[in-house]
Amino acid sequence: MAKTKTVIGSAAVNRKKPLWVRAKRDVTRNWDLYLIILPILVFYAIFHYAPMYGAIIAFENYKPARGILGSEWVGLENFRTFFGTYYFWTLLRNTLRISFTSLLVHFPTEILLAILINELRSKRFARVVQTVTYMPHFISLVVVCGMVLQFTKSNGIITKLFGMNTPMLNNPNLFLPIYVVSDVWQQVGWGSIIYLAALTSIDQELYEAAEIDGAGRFKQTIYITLPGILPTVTVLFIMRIGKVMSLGSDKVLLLYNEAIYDKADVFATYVYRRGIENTDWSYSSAVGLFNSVINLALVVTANTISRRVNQLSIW
Amino acid sequence: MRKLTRGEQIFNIFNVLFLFLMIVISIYPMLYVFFAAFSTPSAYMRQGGNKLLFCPVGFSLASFKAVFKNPSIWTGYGSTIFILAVGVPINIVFTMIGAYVLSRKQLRIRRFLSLLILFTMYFSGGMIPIYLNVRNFGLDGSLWALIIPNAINTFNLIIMRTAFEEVPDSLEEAAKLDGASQLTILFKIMVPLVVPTIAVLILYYAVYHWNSWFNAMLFIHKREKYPLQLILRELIIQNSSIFSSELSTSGAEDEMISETIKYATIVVATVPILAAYPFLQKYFVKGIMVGAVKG
Amino acid sequence: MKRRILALCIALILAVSFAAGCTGNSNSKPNSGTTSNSSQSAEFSYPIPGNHTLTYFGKLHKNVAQQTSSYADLPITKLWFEKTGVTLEFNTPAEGMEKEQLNILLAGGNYTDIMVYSWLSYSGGLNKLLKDGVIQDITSHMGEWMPNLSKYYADHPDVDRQVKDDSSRYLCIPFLKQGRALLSTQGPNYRQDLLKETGLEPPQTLDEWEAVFVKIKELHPDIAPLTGTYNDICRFCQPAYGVSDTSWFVDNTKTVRFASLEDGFKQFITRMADWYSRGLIDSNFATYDVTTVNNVMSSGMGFATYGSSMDKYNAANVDNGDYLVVAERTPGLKPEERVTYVAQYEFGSNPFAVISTKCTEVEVAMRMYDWAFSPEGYRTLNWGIEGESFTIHDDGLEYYTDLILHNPDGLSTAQALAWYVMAGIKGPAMLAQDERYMIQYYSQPIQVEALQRWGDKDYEFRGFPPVSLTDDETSEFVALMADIDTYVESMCVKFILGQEPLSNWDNYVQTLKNMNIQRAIDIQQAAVNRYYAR
Repeated sequence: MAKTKTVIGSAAVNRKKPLWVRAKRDVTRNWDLYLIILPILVFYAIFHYAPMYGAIIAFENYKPARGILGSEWVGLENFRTFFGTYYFWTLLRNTLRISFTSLLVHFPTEILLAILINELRSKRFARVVQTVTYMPHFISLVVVCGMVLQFTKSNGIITKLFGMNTPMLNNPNLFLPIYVVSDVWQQVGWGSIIYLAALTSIDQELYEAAEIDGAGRFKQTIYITLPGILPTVTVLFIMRIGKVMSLGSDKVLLLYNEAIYDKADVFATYVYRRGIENTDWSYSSAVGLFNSVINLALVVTANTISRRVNQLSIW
Repeated sequence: MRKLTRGEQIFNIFNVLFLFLMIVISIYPMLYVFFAAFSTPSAYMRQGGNKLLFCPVGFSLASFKAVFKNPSIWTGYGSTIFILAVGVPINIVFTMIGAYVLSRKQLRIRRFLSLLILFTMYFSGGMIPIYLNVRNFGLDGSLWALIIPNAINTFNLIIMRTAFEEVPDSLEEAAKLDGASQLTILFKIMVPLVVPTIAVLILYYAVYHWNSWFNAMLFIHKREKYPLQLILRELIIQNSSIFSSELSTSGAEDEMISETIKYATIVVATVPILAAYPFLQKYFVKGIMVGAVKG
Repeated sequence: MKRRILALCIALILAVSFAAGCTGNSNSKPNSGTTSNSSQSAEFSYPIPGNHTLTYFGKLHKNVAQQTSSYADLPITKLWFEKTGVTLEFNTPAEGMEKEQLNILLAGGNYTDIMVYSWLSYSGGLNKLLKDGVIQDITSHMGEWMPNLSKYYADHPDVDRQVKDDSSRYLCIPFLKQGRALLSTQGPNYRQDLLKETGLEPPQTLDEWEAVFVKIKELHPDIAPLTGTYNDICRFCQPAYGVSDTSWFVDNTKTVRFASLEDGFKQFITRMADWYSRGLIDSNFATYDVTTVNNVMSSGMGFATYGSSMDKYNAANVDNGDYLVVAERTPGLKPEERVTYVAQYEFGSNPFAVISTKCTEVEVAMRMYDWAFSPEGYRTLNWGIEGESFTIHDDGLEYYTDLILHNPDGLSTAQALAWYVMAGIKGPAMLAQDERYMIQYYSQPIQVEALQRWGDKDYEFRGFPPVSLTDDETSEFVALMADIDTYVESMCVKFILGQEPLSNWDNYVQTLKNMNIQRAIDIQQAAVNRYYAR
């Protein structure tokens, strides 16, 4: 006797039908949703997917005058040049180190700041703190780095604080802490905003119920607040992992110097120094493509882990 | 309100102290910028940027005069305000719609669509194809080139989608039973529940438009249409020492301005944001009662 | 039958008159759209008839940008248009943004008729632009349409060699610096007031400088005797050892040399390391950039440096007692010795013009730009408008008026010059700068002295010549040098800082050889050989 599967709901039925039938059914069922998202899909098609053919520049010897389709095809040569640099592993190591350290320090500090502000009893003071802490975000990087250089030179304030008398940025091992700490200083306030917003949407009733059950504030934070903002934190974390290879040159350029290339030089600054930013498109395009592939791999990994652990996935 | 435990009282005190320290180290750079901007340029150069400033070095409006002397600064504000006024609503509306649809679990191809959209965050054609693409749509030279191609930021869209996902399904079902269309559900029911996130996104988009100059450099060719940041950037470069490899015939304060003008431009660019921010802030600091959601 | 013959005759007549009409238009050359009266038999005179307009791309010089928004507003531009009879339509991005704008222009194919840019920094150079169909080869028309510039080349064969390409073609219209004063706009400068305190004479050799530095350190422990970026220190002290002030130079046997492989360079670095360990070099020098050095000097924290900003330092310290920064010549090792392999060239460091393939009126463009090299053009573009910006004195020479030097509206000399003198804003016309324009423009004695002292070097053996590498050579060279330069810079700074012991020098040199420096040298040598064969 053939076993018949109990059919409950459309899911099981759909599994048995071919793809196009499923798709058609989905569209007819949810036509209103598909309609309203259509312009957005068109937007992505036009402004993001259409120019993607430009990625072939990475495989050409591109000259603007010849155009993208007219330039000579060179296959993987640009990549070979790129991987063949004496400094490839140093650059890769530094890029990853600086990016990951930044990421891993930014997250807890921003979340912590948001929670602390949230815990303040005086709402007015909370607003003042919040307003003031985001201000450094708006100061241009040049000025912030100028300040950092001043504070860490041979007789700078911070240098003296640590009892040293040589410029801190001559020491390759100090580059990373200086970079990350100054980054946090500048960005923690701004970065905490999204967490503050997430905190406000946690249901107040949960807190009230916990109070009644006798849980103190600390316990409330652990069992209500943190889980409450977990989706936001996870999503942001996964997306930011995807920016790890794209570490920009701006800040490194302003803070580094020849003596600490070993620990401070990253892909973006190496490419910049090559002086090719605007004349050797093929090379920078190849580097960009490489970065994108790694970034995507990192995101997929992070997302898979998140899906297993948290059942949270960004797609 | 029950009485606070000893532990909680201590915590509160430390919290306040710590955050007060945070205020001090966060506000100092901004104060420095203000002091430097109002300093006499030559006096500022003379003290060499070495010391902590607690007040302007000398007092002079020379740096600000240099900034506002440039007639394009007013058109700069104008262009940027136009971009904000038109761009941010477009950004928010489209981001909301996209995020909402992608948060609806009943869509079978939800994952596929999300992937398609996320992919664009990591792969891009590069500056030249993007430029040519925008040009092919006839947007080159228009301020719309700064608005339309950037209508949706994927990062923000995902944030918004997460917010929508947090809203209980029961609401949507109840509304559907009442016969509401998707758009009604979105705007009448969902939006009020995610106000904090919307506020944050308005802030993100607004600040993005306010600070951006690179796209304007590519697409805008008439100085009258340059947005604010591009004008300011030009100003700094014009006054900087980097490009002069010859002796100058200075003696005029103009030459001294290269340092302090950087600070004046920051003040000019940031004051409007500082002024506008408190209006948005109340939407995402705790204190707004998010209405209890009951069946 | 009769009709047919008639038709045939008519056809014949038509054909003959058609052919006659065609050959009658023999003056039309492929790229010149001007009517015939401006070329060949008739004697040519300006203005060029026909009211032509050409398009122009080039950066807007900052001295102009500070005061107005277009070159077209300047009286001197209007005069130039009037005299040549041609108008330009300007596309002028701000200084600092022209690189991106240029690439957009090239990518989109919207070349303007005239494009002014630092083409030598464009990968592959002018030859690449020619091969890619961006610019035109104007060699064949030089004699006919640019007689003034051709004469200039004939009178200055060394300049001619700089401008031509390796196949002796002319691909551009140059902007030229003439005279030692224009070639020497930077150099060592120091605090004269502090020197007086030491009681020592202005130092001429490295040893003398060392003695001065030691004394300064004694008297003022907080002031850094020698400050500047790593490059500044190189330009100050490296030439004394006969190895130029940068990585590449061509010695007096026309052989290419790479500084790091030379013994003289090792001596230079050794000495700098010694100075650094004794506190004679600013301990923060590695972290400096141009702006920071200016701050250091202006705030009195530095004694001597290398550069062109002494005016800024003095201006910031106008009411600061005896503070005065003056210039000194680049020191040699022995007294009276002039440094070699450092002097610049007349051509190449300033942006210059090319004529694009989109230009259909090449004769007009060339003749317009040739005017600058005629006696009248030379005078006008270097000095301005007679009676307004300059007058001629009894000695027959031009002198600026007070409108420029002491402007009644309070404009600085640089700003006033921007309205009248294209030699100062380096465009939009291409011209040969008159040395006296700069000498005149610097009114203070210490500035004129600066030009003289900084100009006191060897001109027979200059810095690395403006060679051209082919496209393939460029890719290979750039790839090699990206790593080699990184290595050289980081090692040299570390040697000076003492982070790397000098005993490792041989390893350093060996690593360079392993990085295939020889190949880079060979590429450069080939280019230099081609250069001298021009």
